[in-house]
Amino acid sequence: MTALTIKDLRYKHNQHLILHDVQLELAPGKIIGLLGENGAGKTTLMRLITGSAKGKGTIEVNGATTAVTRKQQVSFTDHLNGFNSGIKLQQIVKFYQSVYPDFNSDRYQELSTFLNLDGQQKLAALSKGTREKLIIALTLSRQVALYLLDEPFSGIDSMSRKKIINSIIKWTPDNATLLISDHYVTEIAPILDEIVVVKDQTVSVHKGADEIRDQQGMELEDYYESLYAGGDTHD
Amino acid sequence: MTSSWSLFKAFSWPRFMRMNLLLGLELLAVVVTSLWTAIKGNFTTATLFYNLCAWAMLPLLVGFVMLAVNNEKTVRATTYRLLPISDWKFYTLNLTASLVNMIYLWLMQAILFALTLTLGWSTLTTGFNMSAMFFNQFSLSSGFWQAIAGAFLVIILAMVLVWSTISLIHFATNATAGFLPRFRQQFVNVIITIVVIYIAFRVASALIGMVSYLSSQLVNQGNVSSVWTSILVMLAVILVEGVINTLVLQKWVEPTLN
Amino acid sequence: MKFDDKVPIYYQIKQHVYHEMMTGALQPGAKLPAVRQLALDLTVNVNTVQRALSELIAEGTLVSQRGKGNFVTSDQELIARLKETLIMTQLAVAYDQLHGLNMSDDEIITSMQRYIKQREVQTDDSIND
Repeated sequence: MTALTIKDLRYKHNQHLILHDVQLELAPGKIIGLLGENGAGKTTLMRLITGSAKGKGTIEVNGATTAVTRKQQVSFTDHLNGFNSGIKLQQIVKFYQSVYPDFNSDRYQELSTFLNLDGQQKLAALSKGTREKLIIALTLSRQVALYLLDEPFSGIDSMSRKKIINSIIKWTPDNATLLISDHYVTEIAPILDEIVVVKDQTVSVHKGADEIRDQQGMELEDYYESLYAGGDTHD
Repeated sequence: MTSSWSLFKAFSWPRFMRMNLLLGLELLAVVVTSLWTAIKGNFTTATLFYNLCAWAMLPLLVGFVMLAVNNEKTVRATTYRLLPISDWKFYTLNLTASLVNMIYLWLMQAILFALTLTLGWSTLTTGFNMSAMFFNQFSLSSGFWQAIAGAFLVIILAMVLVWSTISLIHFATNATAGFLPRFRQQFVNVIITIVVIYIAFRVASALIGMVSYLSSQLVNQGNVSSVWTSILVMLAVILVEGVINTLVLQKWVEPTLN
Repeated sequence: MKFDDKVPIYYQIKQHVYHEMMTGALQPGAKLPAVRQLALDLTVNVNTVQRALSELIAEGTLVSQRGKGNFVTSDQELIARLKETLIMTQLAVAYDQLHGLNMSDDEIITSMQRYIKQREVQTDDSIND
């Protein structure tokens, strides 16, 4: 079974076409980079997979097709905007424990120790890097088939980035697939099995990372940039 | 799947804290105004009761609005919409959590009234023999209790009706983003809001009629059974709105971007 | 370890293992860390490490013992051959580049001898300092 299968996905918002004709199949047990310019539709694609955005077409995660059953199989880096800013980290963890039956508390403990998270701290008091670490810890503590990390590195320092990358390597379950979006390839290139590029309102490229290095003899970054070279030819 | 009970607790807890905050502020206001009365030298055992009467509506009103805002925020928060639970359960639990908290707020008010009333009973009864007579007259008749229960139900259903109507406007104006360009969406949303508010006003006027009928029945000690049919009508409207809301929620209402 | 993003990472991991074996950081018969630990140490994907290890096992450089982990081969002959291959690979790079400068084989040999002498003098100097 595939971790994710998308067929003929189409999404419009206010009559603007955001994504169309999206076809994508992801195998289990892979780490995949979701690349594309800002506003290309990376976040929208993730929201469509989680069921937050309502599009047309079929999305199947580990065999689950309806929005509700899909939500059981997908862990997404939510930015925790549903909480009051005065809430303590341990209360958020308690919330996750109570509403997600697949939440693994032991795993969370390991992750929070590794990432130096303090349960007594308040959500509003966290720096951007620490908040992102918390989000990663919560997201990876669920035991699901598909993890969606939406730009986990935007605007955070390199030490936090390293810690987060190491958590991903260490705590992504063996048969789970992890889709991680970013607009800088270089910082995540070594951990990627494959890349998926969202361009011209659709998934335009899906290739193995070592395949690109092997066959093209190119850095992922260069390859990615080459997709946009001479790119004013909008058709 | 997320269990309904867990989600109910998760929805209720922050709202419960807010209701308690409101109660705390109310108590503070009552105490401060009573102290002021004491400083002026007019303090009697009934002062607390009078001051409670003066303040009681405010937390109920603020609480009602707060919970309405909370209902709508919850629906638009990705944090909650990611949860693996069906949309009709989500919608019902959200509304129920607010309702339970609102009932809690009313209940606490009732307890506060009972306490201050007991405290000031002697002062109040010597001052107003009329009120004592009023209570004596009705307390034993079944019509009185029926009317009280009816009034309570009407209030509860009216609140739920207002909340679900707010959701209906909110959801409908949100759903139009899926179909219309931004400019036309705004135009259509204005129309939707006007139409729904118009309908809501009609329902509200019917409600006011019902309440006045109820109070007339209370005074005349008459039969209040026809109130129950009206309650059923309200319940039906709430259910219909609930079904529409759930469908719209499931198909078109997206949480806000992170 | 820093990776060159132009070269497949599994290939670079293999080179890294060879290098460690030559320097003695990985002794014959030594046990390698678990796959996930290696991935963590190198900050790379688990699958990539797995691929590199599979190839190393297939060629005999590593020996996989079921349930115990992966070990560096104790086969001295194989290690010697591996060393030979590595030396040849390095020399091939230097040779090809020098050849590209239109140098004849004799010229290459004499230049190389001259260079080695120079280096010896340099290292002696630095020791004397």
